[in-house]
Amino acid sequence: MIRFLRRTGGENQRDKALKDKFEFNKTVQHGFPHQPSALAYDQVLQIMAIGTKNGSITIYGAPGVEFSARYKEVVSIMQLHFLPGQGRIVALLDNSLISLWEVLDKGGQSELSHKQDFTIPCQPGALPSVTRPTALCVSAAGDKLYIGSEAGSVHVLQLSSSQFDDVLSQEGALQSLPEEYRVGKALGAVEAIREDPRASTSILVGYTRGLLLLWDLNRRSLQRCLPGTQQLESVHWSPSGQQVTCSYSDGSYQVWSLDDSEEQRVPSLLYGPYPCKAITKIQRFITSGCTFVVFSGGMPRASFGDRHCVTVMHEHEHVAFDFTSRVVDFFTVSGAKPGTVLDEPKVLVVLVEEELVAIDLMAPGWPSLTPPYLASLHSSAITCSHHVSAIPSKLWERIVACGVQQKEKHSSAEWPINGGVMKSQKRTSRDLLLTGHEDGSVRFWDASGVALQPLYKLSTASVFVTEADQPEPIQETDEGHWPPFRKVGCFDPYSDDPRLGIQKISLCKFSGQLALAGSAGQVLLMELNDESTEHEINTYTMDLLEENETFRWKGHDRLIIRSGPVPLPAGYQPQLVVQAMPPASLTALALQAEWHLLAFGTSHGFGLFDCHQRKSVLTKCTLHPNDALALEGPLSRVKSLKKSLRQSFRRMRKSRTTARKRPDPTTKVREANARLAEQDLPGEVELAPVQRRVEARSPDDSFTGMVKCLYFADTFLRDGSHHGPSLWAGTNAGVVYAYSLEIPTPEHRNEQPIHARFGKEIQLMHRAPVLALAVLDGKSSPLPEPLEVLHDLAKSPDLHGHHSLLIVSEEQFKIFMLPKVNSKHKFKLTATEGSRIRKASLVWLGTPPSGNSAGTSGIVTGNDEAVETCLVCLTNQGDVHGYSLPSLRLQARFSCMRKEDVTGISSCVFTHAGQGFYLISPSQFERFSVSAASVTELLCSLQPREPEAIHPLPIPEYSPTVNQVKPEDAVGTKKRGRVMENALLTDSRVLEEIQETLNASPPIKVDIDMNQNH
Amino acid sequence: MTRSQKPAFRTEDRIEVKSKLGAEFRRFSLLRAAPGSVEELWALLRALHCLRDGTTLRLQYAAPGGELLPITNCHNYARALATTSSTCTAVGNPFRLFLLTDDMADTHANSTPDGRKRTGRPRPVVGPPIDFHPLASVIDADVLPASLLRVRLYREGTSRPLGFYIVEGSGMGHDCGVFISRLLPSGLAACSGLLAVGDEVVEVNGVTVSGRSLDQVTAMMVANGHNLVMTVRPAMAPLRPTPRRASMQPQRPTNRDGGSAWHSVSTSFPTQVWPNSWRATRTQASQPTVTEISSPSDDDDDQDEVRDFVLHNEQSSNQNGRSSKPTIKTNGMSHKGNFISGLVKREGNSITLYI
Repeated sequence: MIRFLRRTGGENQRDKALKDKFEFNKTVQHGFPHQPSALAYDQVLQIMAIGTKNGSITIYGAPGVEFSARYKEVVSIMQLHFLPGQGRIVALLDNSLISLWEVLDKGGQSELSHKQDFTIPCQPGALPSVTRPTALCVSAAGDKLYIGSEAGSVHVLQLSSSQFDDVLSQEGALQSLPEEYRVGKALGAVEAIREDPRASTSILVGYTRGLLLLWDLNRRSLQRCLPGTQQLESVHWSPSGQQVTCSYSDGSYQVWSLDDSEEQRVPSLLYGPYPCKAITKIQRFITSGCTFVVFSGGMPRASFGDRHCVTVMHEHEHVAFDFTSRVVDFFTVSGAKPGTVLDEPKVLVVLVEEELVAIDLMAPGWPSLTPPYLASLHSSAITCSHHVSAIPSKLWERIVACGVQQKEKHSSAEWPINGGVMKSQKRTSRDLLLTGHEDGSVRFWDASGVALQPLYKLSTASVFVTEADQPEPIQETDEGHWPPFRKVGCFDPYSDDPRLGIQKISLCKFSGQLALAGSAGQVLLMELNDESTEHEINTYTMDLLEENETFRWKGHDRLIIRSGPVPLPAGYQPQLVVQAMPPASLTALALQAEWHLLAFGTSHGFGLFDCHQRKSVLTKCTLHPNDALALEGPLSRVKSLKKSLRQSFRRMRKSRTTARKRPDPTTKVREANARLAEQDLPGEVELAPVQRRVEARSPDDSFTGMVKCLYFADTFLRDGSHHGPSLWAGTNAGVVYAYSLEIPTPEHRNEQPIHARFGKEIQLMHRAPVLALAVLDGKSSPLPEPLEVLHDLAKSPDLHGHHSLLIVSEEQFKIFMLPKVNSKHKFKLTATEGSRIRKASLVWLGTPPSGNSAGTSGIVTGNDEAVETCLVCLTNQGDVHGYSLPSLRLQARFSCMRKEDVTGISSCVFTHAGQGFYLISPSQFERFSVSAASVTELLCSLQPREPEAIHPLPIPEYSPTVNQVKPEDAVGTKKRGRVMENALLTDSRVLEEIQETLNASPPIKVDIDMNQNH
Repeated sequence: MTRSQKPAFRTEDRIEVKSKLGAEFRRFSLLRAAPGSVEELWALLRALHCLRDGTTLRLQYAAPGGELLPITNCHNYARALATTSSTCTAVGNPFRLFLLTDDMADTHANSTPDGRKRTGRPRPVVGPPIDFHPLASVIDADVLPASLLRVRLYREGTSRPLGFYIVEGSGMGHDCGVFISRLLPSGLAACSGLLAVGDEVVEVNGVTVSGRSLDQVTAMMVANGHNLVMTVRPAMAPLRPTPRRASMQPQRPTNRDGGSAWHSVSTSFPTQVWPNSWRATRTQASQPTVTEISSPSDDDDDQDEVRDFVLHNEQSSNQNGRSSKPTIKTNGMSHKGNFISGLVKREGNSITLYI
């Protein structure tokens, strides 16, 4: 009894220590924002911003510099405009609100925070169109915001005092017009406002009906009138200030020269003569002697109306860059020195709905430039992901080298947007995230830092004969055609063949071997080769049904391997292909590089393949006779992803065509009706509430035979004195099969066959699917990975104590002693809580690795107190739980995601160090951490330029630690500005200090007025 | 045989015997020194009870512990006399014999006087059925407040589905809470008669359901499906004033003893509030199918089954070169106490242990 008490007391202490090691943080978002809707670029600070339809704004600078914020409510961001050089940004929302956001410095780390909201002032009872902003323009000095409304008026907002001080109403504009331009009709909504690039005294206002007015703000009079005749889409005032280019909705554009008032060029319809779509945005620069025209849209409506293009014309070069998704916006990064008249577009950055594409306009042929962030994770839909931490440097370098070879066609220019300073610590280990995609490709991402960077892309489609091989690539047919299309971007949602999809990935980081399992029963064993080769690929077919004649596979066919030598580029090259029959999708995969064994499982059974001798060792059918669904194959009932993607794209296209139009009153009524209908809907749903049938699980549920996990372990399967290799398999019906393997000694590995003997079968009484299996050694730490001990990266396991088997099913955790399978600990989660386990993983919590060695060095040094193994799992409620091992006590519980977020839960992957990734949208990974020691945080700062250098008013900046300003930014004037803002934000005690500073520098007196207006 | 004879013998050397057949009894005595054989006893009994020769009867005696033990041969007759002679000395405490016809004691098949097994056509079975199994029971009735009912549904041994649906909110003014919305006609829930549409589920296996979503409650019930203990607040119960007692009777108002409660419910609520299915269930509930109180066997509810395959002769199988069909024996006997306590099932050449 005393011993028992002592033991439990010790365990409690250990649990307490473990509890402290848990800490939940959502840290970084990787990937591309879902449904982007606005883009902005600040030439001064070299940063860009992307706004989305669900109300998030992210500012990107140099790699690793990111500021993200989002509105609490779901609002769509229509436009974004930087106040140049100030680190502030103005957002126009779809609810007619204009908000000001600001990058604030908080203890050396900057954050994007909301500052203020504006609405257009109006009389009570005015039409909603009066207050609906349609066009925004920030003055070059960044002190004024011109807001054009749907009713046709232009308001001037003083940003420093947040006061509207000037209005150009439509009536005023009409009255000042010369008689011949008055057409008796309203001018329409304000479509574009541009400030004179030479002097900020006049603005150019473009109305929907085509008229452009050059308005002198000081004299409040009309300077000039440019009578366009078509419906205006966008206006660009060339930086030299001499020419104005405007684009129209009929696909034409027109250049007005302001110097020679008589010259009027006719609108040119570039892709005519047949009707064309609108040019939504145009930019025209005058470079040394030539013009540089960049515009989006304008395609012939009938023939290429569905293309999403940005056309670039310069001298004789003319390319229509063809994107796979809708163009949201674009900007050009100027390479010109400030002060010169000419403008030299250096890089064209195009934001399309699914990716960000940059094109190097300086290099000949305009190659594309790979952005260091915003990688399009979902270029083909992600089907699985796999994380490997602490990659040995040699393998890492080889993978990186292969990736560099792939990018040869891309521009090598430096990424031009590099504002801000990254302060995150240098990476301590090399972590790899592998994503498998629907088109059969696997992407390797550098997941060690805050930016998820693409390293290498591996495609398996070339190994197989697919339908897409028959028609020749489209590029050739497009050659010599008009318009001169060129495909850019990597987003390609249309998979050639759904069978190519990658379902499971297993990478042995020590041997470099990679096993991939696909949707049509194909298992590829790949090895890294630094040179491109051409060799034949052998297929080995393994029938999992074991001559069971009663079953008939009604699903898809197997993929056919290309016959003859297959040319293989440098990188991962397939060594052999094991084909599981029937060709159902693979559901489990395990690679044991030390024993040269490969195990795979489908919904029918599992197989064991000897990669060394290249022959089958074992097949086992796990089917239950009543399991009908497993036999039909996935195509019959499960909706194909391809189909659903196509449908959603059609839906999107439909909504886009309606969204393009300005909402007229009838659509408003319709919208209101629709909203009412939506409100009615839940009421109807409540009338027939959701019912759940309560039924105990019976053995004839569908897919009971599906193999959920496979595991290799060197443990005591047969008796307590002899350990040996074993293979464990867990199925959907809660059965665990254990086989003992007899592997010949290395000398006889070539000749003697491997024997697999059926050792044990464990039927879990609750029959829930087995999610994970692991063998813990005598010290309750999991067995090391294959080859880990051989490479001296882990302690060899304790083979003297009693091993125990951890079984994680969807409902319970259980620990059994080996070799007698008697239960030692268990935790019934579902029976007590109702939540089911979706993902489970063993993680090592504790002090981060010292960094001199690979990531697991903490374990190598034998610092047992520092590193604790525990079980982390994600439930269907979206909670992350942490359990101690082997006592299986709940140590920590964090709410991680919404329980409705099914894709997020199913895509979650845990890393060894206690971090995790899950998809928050088809294109974005959210990174979280449950370990207090291992947190990948975004630490970066943005230093707004000297405000005085840009305009006379200092920009208020917030700095809580005035006295601790670092020496490098301790510029006197700046410091003063900070002090003032700080005082205003905190208390009046510092007012004296302000007075002193003000007395010291009289020019800033303007500030007081500004601040008092707050 | 009559009372007048009795003083003629000395009680010390005689055993007082009372033999009973049905309602009639005879009293006689046996010599303690020479009680005679079983055959002699039977002859005496036939004569005393005026039995015809053809009737087959069984003979039992009341052992000191109070149980009935058979007398079929000399051996157990002698034992019966030995055990009872010490206690049957006092007057008025006779050695009690019982003569039983076959249908009185069907369970003692081997108690025919000559020890022969009876043959011939099986007689119709009267009494508890062989395939008796509990479906559901009311537990903790004395602990719980009167408004709650704790029902245990037994699923082991039956192929009957649990057979009920739950819903969030009852649609009768209660918006939160989990309620039983439907019963499958042949399901365990409907057959037990203890659950009805509209009952609010309060606990599942001791875990309160408040604050949990419908899916969570469903998962909890399914996970405990083999031994489901549900605490419900019956739609009808709050009006029952008398405290419950743990009994064989279901705690629903029945026709016999709960008539007043039934009446009070139907008067205080408009009848049309209750759906028809509810009434049908209530009527069923008045004649409970099978209910039984059983002691809860805790924690033995999900023990996993391990099949152990151990190679009998490794060396020989290696020499044969064929390893896929090894001879298999069980090593299940080496399992420790509580793991071997389960069933052992033999199928083919493998042995399955239900532990």
